[in-house]
Parts: sequence; C-alpha cells; structure tokens
Amino acid sequence: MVFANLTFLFFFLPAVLCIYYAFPSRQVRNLILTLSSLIFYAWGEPIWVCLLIFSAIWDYFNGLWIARFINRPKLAKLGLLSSLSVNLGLLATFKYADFIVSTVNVLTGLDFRAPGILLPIGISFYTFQTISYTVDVYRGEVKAQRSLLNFMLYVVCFHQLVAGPIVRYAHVAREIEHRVFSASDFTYGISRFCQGLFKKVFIANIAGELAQNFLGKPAGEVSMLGEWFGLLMFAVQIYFDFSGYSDMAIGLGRMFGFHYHENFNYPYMSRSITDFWRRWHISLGSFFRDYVYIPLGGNRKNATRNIIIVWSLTGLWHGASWNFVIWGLYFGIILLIEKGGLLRILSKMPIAVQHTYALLLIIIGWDVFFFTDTGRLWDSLVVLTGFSSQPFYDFEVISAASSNIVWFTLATLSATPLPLRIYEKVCECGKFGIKQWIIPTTNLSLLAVSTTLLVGKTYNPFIYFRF
Amino acid sequence: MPADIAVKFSQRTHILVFVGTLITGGLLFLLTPKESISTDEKRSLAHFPVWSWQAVAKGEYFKSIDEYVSDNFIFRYSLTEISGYLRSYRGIAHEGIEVFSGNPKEASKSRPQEPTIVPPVVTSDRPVLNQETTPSPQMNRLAEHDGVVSPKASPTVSEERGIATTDVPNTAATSSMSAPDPKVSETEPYQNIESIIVYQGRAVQMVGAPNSSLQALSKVINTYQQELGAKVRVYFMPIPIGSDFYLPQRLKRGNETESRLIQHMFGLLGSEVIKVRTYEKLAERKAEYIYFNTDHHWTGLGAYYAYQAFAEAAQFSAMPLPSFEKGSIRNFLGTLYQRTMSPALKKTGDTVDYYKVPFSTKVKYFQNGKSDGVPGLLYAEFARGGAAYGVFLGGDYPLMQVISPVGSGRKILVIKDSYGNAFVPYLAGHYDEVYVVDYRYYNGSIRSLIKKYEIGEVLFAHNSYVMVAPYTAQRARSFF
Repeated sequence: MVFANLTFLFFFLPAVLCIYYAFPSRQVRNLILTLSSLIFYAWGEPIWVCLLIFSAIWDYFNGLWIARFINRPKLAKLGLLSSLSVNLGLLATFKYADFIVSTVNVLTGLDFRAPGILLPIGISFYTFQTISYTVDVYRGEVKAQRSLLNFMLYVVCFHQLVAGPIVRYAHVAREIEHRVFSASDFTYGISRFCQGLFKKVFIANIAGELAQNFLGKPAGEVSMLGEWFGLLMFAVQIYFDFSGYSDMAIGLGRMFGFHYHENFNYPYMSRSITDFWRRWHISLGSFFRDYVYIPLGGNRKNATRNIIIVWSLTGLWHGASWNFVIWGLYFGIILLIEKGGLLRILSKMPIAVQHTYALLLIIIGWDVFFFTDTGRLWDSLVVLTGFSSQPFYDFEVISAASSNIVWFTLATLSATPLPLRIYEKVCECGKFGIKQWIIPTTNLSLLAVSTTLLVGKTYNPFIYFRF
Repeated sequence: MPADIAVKFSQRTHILVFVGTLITGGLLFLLTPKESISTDEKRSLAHFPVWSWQAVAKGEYFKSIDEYVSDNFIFRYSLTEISGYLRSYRGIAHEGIEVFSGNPKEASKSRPQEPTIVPPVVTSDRPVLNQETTPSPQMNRLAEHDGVVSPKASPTVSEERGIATTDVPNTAATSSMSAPDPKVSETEPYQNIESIIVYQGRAVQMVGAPNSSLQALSKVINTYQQELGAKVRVYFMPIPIGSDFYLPQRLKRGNETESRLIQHMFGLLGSEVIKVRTYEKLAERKAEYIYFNTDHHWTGLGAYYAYQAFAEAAQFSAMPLPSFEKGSIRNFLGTLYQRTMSPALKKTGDTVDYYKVPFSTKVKYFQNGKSDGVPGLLYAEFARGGAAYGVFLGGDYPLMQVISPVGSGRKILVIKDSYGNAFVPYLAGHYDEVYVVDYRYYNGSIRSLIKKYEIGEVLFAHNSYVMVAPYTAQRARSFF
C-alpha cells in the first residue's frame, strides 16, 4: 500500500488509529502496529511479505547471538557475518541479479539468462535497517532486543517500511518500549502528514507528468529548453516525492508516539555538493558514513579510495543499473574536488554563485539518474548543452511552462523554508485563538485538495519504490 | 479557561476532526450505493474483487480493492471536475492553447468502453421496431435515468485512440486476433497519440503516425478487393478526426498529418478500390459544426458532408439536408471533456444533432454467433448526457442490418468504427439493405455475409486513428 492512496487514507489509517488507541497496553499496541504493518506490506507484496518476516526473524536471532557472545569477539563476529551475508545476499538476489547477469554477459560475451526477479518493495530500506541493528549490537552501541514482537515492530513498522527514512534502532529503541501518547505530538504528526501528502500529490505527481512529457520522448523530438524543462520537473518531482514521503512517515510516527529523525533539510538550498549530501536523504548518507566510510578508514586512511567506494555503492543502492553507479561516482568526484580546495574558493564567492553552482550540478546529476538507458542519457546531454540540431525552444515547452507558471512558483517556494516560516509566523502572531484554528483548517484543506487530486487522477506511482 | 487546558482542548479537537474526517469519508463510501458503469467515462467501474488465494498471491486482489475504492469514491465526479478546475489555475494557457498530454500508463490501465445503448427492447419475440415508433415507456424511463447500458461482454479495447499497447481482454470478440504485425506495432511508436489540445473552446486530438503504419490496412483492403472480384465494389472512406483543421499553423509546424496520411493511404490502395474524398469535403466545411467541441467524434452534419462525398464516389445523388427531419440532444459533454475536465470545454459544450431519413426502416442487430436478430434503432433518440452520441444506431454492435423501402436494388456492407454510426443512417436513402459491421466486435465471416445477402458493395469507413492502428488490419484480416 502507499500513503497517497484513498484506501490508505480513508480505511487503513483511521482503522489502525482507532484499534491502536482502543487498547491502553503498550504490548498490545505493538502487536496491533506490527500486524497492521504486515497487512500494509502484504497489500502490495503478498508473496514477499515472507521475505520481510524472514529477514526480521533472522536478524532478531543474530542480534541475540551477538549479544550473547559479545565478550567472545570471534563468535560474535559470526553473528554479524551471518546478518551481513543474508541481507546483502537478499539484495544481490532480489535487486541485482539481472544487473549482475547482464554485466557478466557484456564483459564475457556469454549469454546467461537473466532470472527476471521483480524487486520486492522496500527491500533496500529494511535490509539496511536490520544491518544497522546487528552492526550496532556488535559495536555495543545498542542492547539487543529480547522481544521478537518489539524487534519485528522496528523492522516492519509501516511508517517507514517502504520508502524510508532508514530508521536506526538506537533512535527508536526506547520508544518501542516506553512511548507515551501526547496530543501535541499527534497534532504535529497530522500537520506533517498532511504537508507530506500535499507535497506528493500536488507537487510531485504533477511535476512527474510534466517531466515524463519531455524526458519520456526520444531526444530528437525535444527542444533544448524542453529538455531542461523536463529535467527541472524531474528535480522537482524526485525531491517532493521523496521528502513528501519522509514527511508522511515522520508524521505517522508522531501520531503513534515515535520520533524519527529528519531525512531532508531543504537540499535545493545547498551551496555546495558537500552541503547537498548533508541535506538530502540524510538517513542514507549517514548509513554509508557510519557503516562503510568510517570502517574503511574514513578521512584518515585512503580517503580518496573510500569516497569512490562509498559513492559507487550509494549510486548502486538507488538502482540496479550502470547509470546509478555513474551518478554516484559523479558526486563522489565532485566531493573530492570540493574537498581538494573548491569549497574554500566557493565560500569566498557571492552566495548566489554558490547556490547556482550547487543547483546546476544537482540538476545535471538528475539527468544521469533519470535515464537508465545510457544511449538516451548521452543524447540528452547533447541536447542540454546545445550541441544537437534540436531547436532552442518550441511551442510545447512554452505552453507547458506558461500553463503551469503559478504552480511552478508555488513548488519552487516550497523547496525553500520560506512558506513554512511565514506560516509559523502567522500562527504565532495575534492572539491565542488564531493558531488553534489556522492549523487544523490548513491541514484539512491540504487533505481535501490532495484527496480531490487523488480522486481526479489515477496516476499515482511512487517513484521511490524502485529502491 | 486556563491557557494550558485550552491548548489541550484545541489539540484534542484537532485530532478528533482529522480522524473523524477520515472515518466519515470511509463510512460514506461504504454506505453510498455503487455504480457499475460510468457513463461519463464510458467504461465499467471496478467491482469488489472475488476472494481467491490465487488473486491474492498475484497481488491482484488488493489492487482490485484499491481500484474499487478509487472508482467508486464518494463525490467522485464532482471531485474530478474540481481537479479539472484546479488544473486550469496552475498557470496561463499560452495563446489560449491548453495541451493535455496523455499518459501511456494511465491509458493502458483504464478500461474504456464505447457507449453502447441497448435499446430497451431486448426480447426477440417482439416485432421488429419501426424506427419511427414512439419510444415505449420503458425507453423513456431508461432515458430519464441514464439511458445507457454498456453490456459487460463488449470488448474493452480503446483502439479508437490508436493505442497499440492496450491490454486486450479475453473476450470472444478479440480472441480470434492474429499476432501483431511487428513492422508497425513495435518499431514505430505513434507520436502524440494521446495528446489532446484545447483551443478556443474546442478539443482537438492529434494524430501522429508514420506513413508506414498504413501498410497493413491498405494491404488487407487490397486483398478484399482482389478476392471479392469484379462483382463487389470496394470503397475506402478515410474519416479525418480534425487534427489538421483547427489548430494554428505554429502549433502544427506546418504538418498536415491527416492529409499526408490519407494521401499516402490512397496511393497504397489499388486502383480498383474506390476512394472517397471526404477530407476535401470536410476541409471546405470546417467552419461549420462538423466536429464536436468536447467529443472525439464528428457531428451528424460532418457525417452528412462525408455522405455527399460518398454519393459522388458511389454514383448516386445525395439527398439535400432539408429533406431530413432534424432532431437535437442538448447538453452533451463528450469523451474529450471527460478526459481533460477542462472548464473551457464545459463552457462551450455540445449539442448532438441528427438528421432522420424521411421514411421507415427496419433495423436489427445481431450478437456474435447468433443468427436471430434483435430489433434495433437507427436513431436511439432517448440517448442523453455523456452518451448522447449513441443516438446514432444506438451504439456499436458486431453486426446490424438496416432494411429500407427505397427499392434501388443496391445492398452495401459498411465496416466501420464508431465514426461510422453517424454516417450509416444516410445510406438508408439509397440502399435497400445496409449491413453494418463494427470491426472491433464482429466475429463472423465477411465473405459468407456477402454471399448470404448478395451484397454488391463494401465500404471501409475508418477514422485516422483507426486507419493507422495495427489492430484494425489484424481484425479485418481475421474476419474476412
């Protein structure tokens, strides 16, 4: 199931909330949340829900094993290896098998048949969560969870199950066992959820359609401005889609008493690529930092090698295709250059230059990200740089830009902290009464517009489901 | 009230209002009656799925529930209209032109259905209806309510819009389909095939297809002509959908796509195939009300001019327009409005005018595999609302027979898509018997039909989308 879906909004969510709050016992609530999460997952993935359960149980036992032998490093390591090999094995089989086979075929000239396994939803997220858990237990940073139910809840909780953020066990360990209901948390959760829903439905979906209209065509049919426009729309789509989803996850968490960490911090406001990666998909960046980069030696030993490895992996995590690896490496190289002195030079430049520099590189990155077909990617780069015979602009792009100008202005503003700041100011100003009315009214309006658009359009794919 | 209690109270109210809204939405959905067919969208709505482990394992069961919920959601139509309004406020239409680019994913997901009006007379023991008969009370009742019933068994392929990738359902009508022609279906995708442009209150569909997409159909028509021999005259009547007529040059970039396609088609057809010059006739009359503003069809008037062009080709003189009795159905909002929900289109709206032949005819339609005809109508005058185009012939049937008292000694078979519906009634003024085959639904054999009824003329009447779609040729081959 997805959040921006009428079944979820009008049946699943209210039902789970009512049943959940009907029972005061935390254990019963954990059970309700776990079972409903499994239903949520099985709704879209009725077979591979077994894989999710298997993965959770496997790492539950690995955690216990590691904790038990924490003073006998060799035995403890065995538990860690078992966790790593099974989780990475699952990823290799279910996400990368076709990619590996086709790469081997290209390299060797052989002709192995690709197994054609369909990627189970959210596998990239939950395998990373369980890996982070066993590693943390091994490092002694968290205590192993003794209750299978509580551990299952950590892995399968529907708030962040299918599209992140990647929640660390340490962040929620206490709340799994001791969380309390707070009306202010709940109302904050409603606000975050409605904002996320609106970002997804009103901004990301529309941007997605527009992007597809231009980037979905052969490069020979798109003008130079058209290709830029399509790319810009994709940049809008991917940010609002993913951050909208994270907002909804964080909001849902709050409704049930969990405090997840932020996953985005206005990434398009970055002044450098280094800055961008501190603001974009924070839970993934910190995962690679803590579990790959630092163990490899971090800054201290072979920093360049480490950066290249980490960024190839980051790219590959996003999808089983070479363009994602190129995308990761692209950022890895830029980060190295920035580290090598560019950052210092940039910081002396006017702020506008810094923003332009960062945005331009980010957007070009999205071009690499968008085209899994490297042939079309190359054509696209040729069109973007004006080296093709395509016209500079045409009717299509002028028409699309003009008929979405109001929406686009709103979307652009929403990528900055400005609207929220104004909103908070408005809420705070005046007497007590205003805030108490304005917030629920805003939330209901956001919900109403989102529902209207959801009903009006069946086009509603979550692009982050590929990961 | 102390401040902290007030805060608590307002927070709890906020929670109750939010959760209450969601619950109310869900409850209203459960309590309101569900439709099985959306006449506005011309498709059947999703039903609540039947439980089976197999359906669950395939993921279809839960997906179907989602579809059921979204298809039957409360205030669905109003919400869809509101989202159309919201869309129009997203910016400013450049030069008054709004472009609605279709989404292939969405198109393949939908289950479009042509509006098929089932005349309220369905029992075969009733006498054949004279088309001038006053509608029975039953008809009126149907007209008042929705006037339209789309039979579940009818095929649900939207080849009218030329999509090569529709998920062809396993219906009897399509099971005999032959393998797709790889030359045209895979390698040469259509451009702009689903684009709709709204300009000056009119929705215009864009046809985009390479000349090579005409190979398949022209080959089949040539085969018909050769194999039927000199005794049967074969006509081809292309029906432009208006792509060339109503858009500013800048937008078309000088491409008269339909003109190009039709010219090329004529070149591919053998010299023995008689070509009907509809394009020129309609181009001359484009300032008149020959296409609907909000629907993908032409009007009865447009079809009348095509009839004039056909009269020249078939060598009879067309009856003047005033000799027909005119009827009108107002407040028609057609498929292109439903697809775009454009407020500009709603403002223009449409009226379905039909021109009745001035004498009585006997009309029967036949379901596949049944030799007993069921009384039908030349004009289903009770058609209303989004299905008003169904006034012509009452919708699409695999086979229809129109018997007319003209005594010309001529009989014709028309192989058509839904554009043909508005055209066929005029033929009743010149042919003793008119047989109408809908290429999508007919499963019999054209050869034996011609033999059985001693038909001397065969007319292929296809609009541009249908002309370029590989499916058309496949069907024509399969039922020859």
